[in-house]
Amino acid sequence: MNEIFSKDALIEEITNFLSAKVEGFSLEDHADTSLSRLGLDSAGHVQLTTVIEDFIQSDVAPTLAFDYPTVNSLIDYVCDTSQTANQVN
Amino acid sequence: MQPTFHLFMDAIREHAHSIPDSNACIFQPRGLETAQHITYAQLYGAVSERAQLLVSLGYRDQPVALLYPTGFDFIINFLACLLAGVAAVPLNVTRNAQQFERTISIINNANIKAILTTQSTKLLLAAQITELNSTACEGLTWVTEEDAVEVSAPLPTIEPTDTAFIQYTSGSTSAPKGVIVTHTNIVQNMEAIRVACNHQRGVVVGGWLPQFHDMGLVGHMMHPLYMAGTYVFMPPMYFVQRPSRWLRLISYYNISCSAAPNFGYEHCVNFIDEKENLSDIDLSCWKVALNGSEPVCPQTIRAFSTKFSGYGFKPSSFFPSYGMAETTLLVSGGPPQQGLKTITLDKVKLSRGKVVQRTAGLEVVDCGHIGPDFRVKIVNPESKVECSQDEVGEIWIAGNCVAAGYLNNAEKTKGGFQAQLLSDDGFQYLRTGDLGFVKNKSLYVTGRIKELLIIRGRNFYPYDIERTFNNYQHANGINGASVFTYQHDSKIKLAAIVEIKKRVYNKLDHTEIQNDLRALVSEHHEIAFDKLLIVKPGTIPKTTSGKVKRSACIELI
Repeated sequence: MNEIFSKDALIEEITNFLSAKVEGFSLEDHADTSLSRLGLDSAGHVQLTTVIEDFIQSDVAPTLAFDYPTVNSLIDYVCDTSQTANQVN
Repeated sequence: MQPTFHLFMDAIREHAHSIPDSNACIFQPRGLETAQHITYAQLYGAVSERAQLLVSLGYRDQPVALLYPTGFDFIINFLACLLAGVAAVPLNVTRNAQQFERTISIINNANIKAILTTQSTKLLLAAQITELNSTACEGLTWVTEEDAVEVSAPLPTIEPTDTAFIQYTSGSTSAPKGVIVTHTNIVQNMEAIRVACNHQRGVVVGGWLPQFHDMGLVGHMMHPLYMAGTYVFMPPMYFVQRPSRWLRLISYYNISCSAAPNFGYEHCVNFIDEKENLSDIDLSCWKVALNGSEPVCPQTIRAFSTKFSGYGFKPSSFFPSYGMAETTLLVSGGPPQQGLKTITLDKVKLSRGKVVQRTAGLEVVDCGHIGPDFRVKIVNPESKVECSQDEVGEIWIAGNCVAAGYLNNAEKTKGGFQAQLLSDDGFQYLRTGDLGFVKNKSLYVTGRIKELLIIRGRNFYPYDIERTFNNYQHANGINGASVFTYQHDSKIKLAAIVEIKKRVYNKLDHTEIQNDLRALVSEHHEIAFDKLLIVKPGTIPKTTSGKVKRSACIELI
């Protein structure tokens, strides 16, 4: 993962995806709620990884959203393993 | 049919001598640069070494579980079991707790004492077992890459009737059953596939199908190896994540035969974005696009053909087929280059079990010519009398590809594998549980007996009606409807649950949507529902592969 990206923009991408998939999703209330509890099915979990892949322009494991099953844990993982603009600045 | 080889491993031994440096398998876990190759000489060498270990450990004739992530380890260990006369039981490595419990139940059912796996998978599984707090795995022996043979043990002589492997059926609705596949079953089915697909020596076959699944194991992995060809494969999850990877694999490696259940093709239609750059893909090499192991949907085939014909895909390559673990794999398919062929039947007549062609009605897919070595009968499942040519009945099959029975299940083996016609013709038949008919040597499958709905004396197949619901303009689609029966005051009632697009669900009047749906099914199927529920997307209970769990839907109404 070589690209430098903004953490906030990644959060926005994930939020947009989840808002379209999950009725009544709000980042404020659900950042630490498990994605399956929010009603995201297994295909949705895998699709979410492609949203992340497209954004960071690098491959991620298809099981990532199962291994890091909340918005916060997912973002922390992606940012820890990549270079974000926030870290660089 | 007299197979070219007496045993499957005779073929591999022969190829290791005649074409030692040819690629037997290519595994591409991620991008092109990650591809790994193994030649026939390397493969046979690794398999022989592993087989000697299994013999020296005393596993001859014993069932042994294979728990491997997608890769060469699975192939080597599976073939080593064949060579050593060990009954391989391929299983799924899963992190899903429910699926893992199924794995445990299979280990118990097959009375497995040893597990072949990798060291890293062993650690993962051990943690899951501890989490389950199960005593089921106590006393199991784990054999990994760290175990190696010290003394060379002579390999046993294998008889064609010996058990080769145990294929557990998906069993999404019932307890898993282990199909006993013999060595002769394998070579006979290799020949059946060769004839149906018109495969030549050196054929390149592969795709994303799981290696523990019958279509992935027998069709994708074993068949090209038998034919001195190349097996090309990728992890299934990487296909699910981005389906264009499958098409890219086919294009890059010039794969001429690649199979998937209907949902694989549908996944490409729905999830390959129009904006995605596919300019490097050329699908003109794909001669056999086999569609099998779940009902073949003509709409999916047409949509896939339209979407990908611009990338060299020939619609005539579509190869609807019929088969199952109980027949090793393939029963019918082809001839090649026939593409999608359907006939349209009178729905009302069909609901009374009669095959009558009409210009408008229900479209049924031709699942191809029945293999020359199969004896297929269409039988009334209750009277066990053979049906006449224009009648729908249960598909019964006899022949050398039919497996030996279910492991440790005498009752199901008797009921499922040893059926006899009322007019006993001297054959024992496999009862498939599927309904269909034969026309001009081709097999047509109309549904499953267990799922057949009998409403006021008429027979309905739930998925035909579900398809009508899914085509409704506001329906969420993609397995977003469930049709089933329930009992009320000792009467059988008909119910449906349909998922409606979220925005429409929140905005439009629900009665109006329900009226639309009632009008739609009445027009297409001439049937009325006792209960019709509309719900938001994601409400209908589904299996892990996305199939509707009809029995679980009853609780929703």
